[in-house]
Amino acid sequence: MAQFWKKLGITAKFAASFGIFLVLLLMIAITGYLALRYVRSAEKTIQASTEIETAVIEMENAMEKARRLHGDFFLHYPLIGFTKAHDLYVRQSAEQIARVIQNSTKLQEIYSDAGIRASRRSSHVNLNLYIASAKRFSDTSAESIALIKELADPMDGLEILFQRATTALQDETAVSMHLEELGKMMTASSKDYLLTHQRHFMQSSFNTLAVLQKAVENETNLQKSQRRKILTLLSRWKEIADKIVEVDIKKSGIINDFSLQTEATDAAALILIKQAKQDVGEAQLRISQAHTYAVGIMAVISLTGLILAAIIARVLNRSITRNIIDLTNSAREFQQGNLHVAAGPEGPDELGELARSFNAMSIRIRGLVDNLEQKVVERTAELAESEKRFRTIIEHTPQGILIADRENLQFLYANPAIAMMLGYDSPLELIGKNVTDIHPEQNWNTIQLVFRRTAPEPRFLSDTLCLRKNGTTFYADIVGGDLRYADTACRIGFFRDTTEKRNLQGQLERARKMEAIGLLAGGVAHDLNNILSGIISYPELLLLQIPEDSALRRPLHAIQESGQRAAAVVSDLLTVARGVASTREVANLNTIILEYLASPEHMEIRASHSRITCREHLDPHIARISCSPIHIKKCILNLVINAMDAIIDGGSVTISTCNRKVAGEEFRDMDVLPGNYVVLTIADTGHGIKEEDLNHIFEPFYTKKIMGKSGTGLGLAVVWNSMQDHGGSINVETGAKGTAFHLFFPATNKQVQAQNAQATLDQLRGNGEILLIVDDEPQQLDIAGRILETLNYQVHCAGSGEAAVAYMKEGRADLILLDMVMDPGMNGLETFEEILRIHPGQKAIIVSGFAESNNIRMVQTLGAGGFIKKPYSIEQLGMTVRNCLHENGSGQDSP
Amino acid sequence: MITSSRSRSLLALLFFLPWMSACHEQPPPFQCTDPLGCVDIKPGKPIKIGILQAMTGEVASLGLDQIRGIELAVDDNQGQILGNPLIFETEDSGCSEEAGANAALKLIADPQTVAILGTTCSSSARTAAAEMSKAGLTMISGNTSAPYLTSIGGKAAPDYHPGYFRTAPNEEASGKAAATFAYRKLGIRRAATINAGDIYTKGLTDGFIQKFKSLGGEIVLSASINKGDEQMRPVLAAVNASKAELLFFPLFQPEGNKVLLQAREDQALAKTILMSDGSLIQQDFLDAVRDKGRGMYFVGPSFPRNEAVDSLSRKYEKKYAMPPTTSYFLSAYDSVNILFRAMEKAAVREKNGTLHIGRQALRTAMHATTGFAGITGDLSCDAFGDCGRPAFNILRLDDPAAGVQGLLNNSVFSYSPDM
Repeated sequence: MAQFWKKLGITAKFAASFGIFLVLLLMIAITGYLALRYVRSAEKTIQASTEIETAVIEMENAMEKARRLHGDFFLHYPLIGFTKAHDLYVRQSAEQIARVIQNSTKLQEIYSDAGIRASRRSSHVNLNLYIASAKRFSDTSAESIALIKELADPMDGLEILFQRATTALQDETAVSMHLEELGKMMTASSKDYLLTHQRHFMQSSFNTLAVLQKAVENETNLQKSQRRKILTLLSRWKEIADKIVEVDIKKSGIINDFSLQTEATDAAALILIKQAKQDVGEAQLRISQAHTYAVGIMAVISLTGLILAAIIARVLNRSITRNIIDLTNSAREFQQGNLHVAAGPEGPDELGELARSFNAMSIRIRGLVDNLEQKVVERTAELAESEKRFRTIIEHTPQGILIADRENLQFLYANPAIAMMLGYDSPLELIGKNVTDIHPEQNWNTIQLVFRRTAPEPRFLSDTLCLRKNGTTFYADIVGGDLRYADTACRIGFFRDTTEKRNLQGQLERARKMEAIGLLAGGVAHDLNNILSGIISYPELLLLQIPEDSALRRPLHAIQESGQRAAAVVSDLLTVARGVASTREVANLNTIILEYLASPEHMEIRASHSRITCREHLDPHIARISCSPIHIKKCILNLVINAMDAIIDGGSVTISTCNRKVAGEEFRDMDVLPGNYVVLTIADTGHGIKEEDLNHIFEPFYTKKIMGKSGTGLGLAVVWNSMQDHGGSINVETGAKGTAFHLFFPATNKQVQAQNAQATLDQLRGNGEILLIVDDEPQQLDIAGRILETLNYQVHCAGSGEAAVAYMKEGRADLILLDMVMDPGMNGLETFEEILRIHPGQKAIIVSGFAESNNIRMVQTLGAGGFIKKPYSIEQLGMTVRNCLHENGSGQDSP
Repeated sequence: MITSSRSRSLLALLFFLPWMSACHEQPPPFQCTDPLGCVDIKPGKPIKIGILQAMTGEVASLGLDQIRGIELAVDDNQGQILGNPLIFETEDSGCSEEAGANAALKLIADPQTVAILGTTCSSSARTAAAEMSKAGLTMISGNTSAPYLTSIGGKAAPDYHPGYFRTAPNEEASGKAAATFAYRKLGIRRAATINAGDIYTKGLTDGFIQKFKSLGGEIVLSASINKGDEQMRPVLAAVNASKAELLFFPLFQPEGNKVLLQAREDQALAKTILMSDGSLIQQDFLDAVRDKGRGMYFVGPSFPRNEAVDSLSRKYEKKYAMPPTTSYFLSAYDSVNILFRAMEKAAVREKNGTLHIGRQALRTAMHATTGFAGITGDLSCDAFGDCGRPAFNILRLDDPAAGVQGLLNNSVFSYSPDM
């Protein structure tokens, strides 16, 4: 129903609503009409019933009067005579009967009226009965009148005839007493009959008549004519008497008939009157009921109308008026800018259509506005994002950015980079500062001059000296330009700290320098190592061959020691030049330090610096490192020497170790990557290092000592290069109270390898394995051959790579000792590659006095199990060969 | 718009619905063409039948037996005709002309009255039949037998009225039967008659006289009494004076009783044979006269004695807890069935169930009754309304204590007009 209503249009809704009211009005009108008609019908019934009652009463009265008149006629005609009685009563009685008939006809007309209720069929029946009885009364009345006339007519009525016959008989029977007596008896009985109308009297009279007839017949005194006359009279008398009896019987029947008629008509009249009264009563009741019902129905309809009016008003209000108001309010709200207002509901009617159109329009406009707002929001967001992005860039850019008011030179904006660059805690600290606060005084004029000039194009100021908060200075490249910031004419400056650049430039210069030195040192070292191999190895071989008490042993030892010192210098050179191929092993730095402290070199240094105290603070829990212990010891040695040399009048040198975890921003200061480190610190209480020297202390041959006497200028360079090789870093702290060198070694989780104990000569001996020595230096071939033969190996020598390959094509070798640098011809790598083609899996040891790490690593990658540098001792060579033959080079790291 | 269209369609449908239904072919309404009119009975409404019987006076027992015969027949018809129930209006027709006429008027006054069952007496039938006939009704009686009501000598009797029927036999032959028996069987040559002046008793005495005279006998007295007469001695004195050997007095109660009793008191009439008719073949008469009725003769209709009669008698006894007091309830039973069958033939039922019974059609159907298997035998209604079979028995009351059945069983002579 609700759906059906919603689907209706406004016109239909109004039509339905007014239709309902119209129906109600019609119902009221119909009710009123029906009630009036009902009342009219009842009134008609009352009228008709009243007429019926009146007519019946009149009819009954007339009937009664007719019967009474008829009765009077019967009563009076014997007294006043038939004619007079007839005139007096019969005519009037007939008139009354006529009235009865007239009234009955009127009643029939009333009953035939359609207004009389059909249920009154019994009234019709009674009326019919009444009419029939009345007619019968009329008929029987006429019949009775005829009978009376026949009986009492004064001229020829039976009574007068009977009287005459009786008189005549009396006259005729008077002739005889017997006959007269019988005549009297007969007459007496007849008179009794006439008085009582009891037939047996007449029968007695007839019986006497019969006797009389016989008496007459037997009477002798009578003449025949007399006899005949008497007998005729008797016959006539009996005939009249029979007729009188017959008429009396009829008359009695008619009287009885009248009685029955009266009974029937009275009952019918009574019923008719009763029914008429009942009809009146019922009609009155109907009127009353009609009134009650009409009032009730009208009240109900009116009440229903009111309720329906309320409901319809509510429904119309809900479905039309309220929708219009809602629509108006929606339009007003929409006009006032509430674009989200929706008009509703969107029913199928016109208002719904209007609401739908409004909503569509609203949605359309809102869409446009929302789109616009969305675009604004998006653009704003984009701008915010862009601003955020640029701010993020600016906030995170390593370039320092400052915006200063051109009028008063005060900073309006500073990014974190510039704050950090200038040593401020936060950029806000710079806000309000003056431009002169970040520049040394000598530059103020220049800066102010720059600010006065407009700069439509960016201006570049290189290596401008800037002043930190703590008063230190640094150089920066500045790009400046004009900018409107916060609606103020400003100057923006982009700062780039050139300190690192300058450091890098210095490092580059140092690297180039080191490279040049390396190249120089490398070339020299190769030759020197070959030379020194003879100086070191031959004395050692000779010492094995000469007696212990030979006078030659001391010079030979001196030669050997000199060679070794020269080899050490060459080794430093190679280290500086990064040309030294060294082995790595996992070790405990404390162990290395302790070995160093126990070494003759340290003892010698301590002896030469007796006033200096040497302390150790070694952390027993330090982590392990992967290192070349020889080079670490060398670094410690060089730093301890420098530390002690830095102390003039006594002091102390402290060697300490500790674990350190570098994290956060520390690595920037430490110049190392974040991670776990073992730190070796060698600190002295000396005079410190001058600032101008500090940037050069790691440069080769840069020394404040006497060159050749107390130093070679390679000590800190060796330390620096060794730390670079170990992936570590050096941090120098220097001041008036001394200097501390912090060496950062990356910690490792690998286990410490067992130290090879120094082997004896017997332990180094081989089992006759075949060794091929490949070297382009004959001396090197000779030295190595001799040593290895001494160690019980079968030695074959090849002076070039090609000779070695030729040998290997024909023969075999358990191990090849391969020099890496051979010229001309095939170098060590090429030779080994060729040999591997002939003998895959061939073992080899790389022997080199020069560092070409890439070639060495490649050879080792191809399968070379060991490495030994020139010059080497018998033990070093023997141990390397033995290990390579039996252990596949275990315990050695790649260079 | 759709809704509006639907509404208009609905309104149009409602508007044209009466016309559409009117277009449906309807049977034409019933038109009564019966010259006497029709009685229309709505479906389920009762069919009204009037009953005119003597319900007061000494003849009330006769009327009561008639009513009982009617009731038994209605019971056997399940109280309905053609599915319509029956309603009866009973009026006391007494045993006089005026009572019959006035009672008949009461029934005739209702146009819904289809037919009348009655009357008990021929005198009341005389006037009632006249009124009934004028109103176009049909009336059938199981008790009236006066020849004046139907036919005498094969011709319409003076008081014959169309629409009148009876199952009681025309007693035109009843008096003849009595005269024949008196003359031939009893050797009576002098006979006296007493009637009550009404058409019934007068019809019987006239028939007796006519036949007795024709046989060679002498009617020494033909007297009349009035109904209601108490003193019968004068007329009995006349009988005695006439030296009649037999007194034929076909009177009703109580006049018949008085004649008998007073005659028995008269020694002069001790040898006079007394003969009455069926109107005194009643239990209450026998009860009233007792032994004084011994030797008395009765002439009455000869109803068959068979299982059907016995069965109906048992129904009677069961329903009313007493044996039948007359045999006329049998003819009353037959009169009802003949009427009902004729009504069924004459009735026309409309499709709407309304029953129409043409008044003339009913009369015609009554006259068309032929060979109807009634309880009193095969019945056929002639042109004057006689449906009963004219056969009579002469009964002699030898044992008053045996009652009516004893009397009926003691038939000494049977007479038929064909004899």
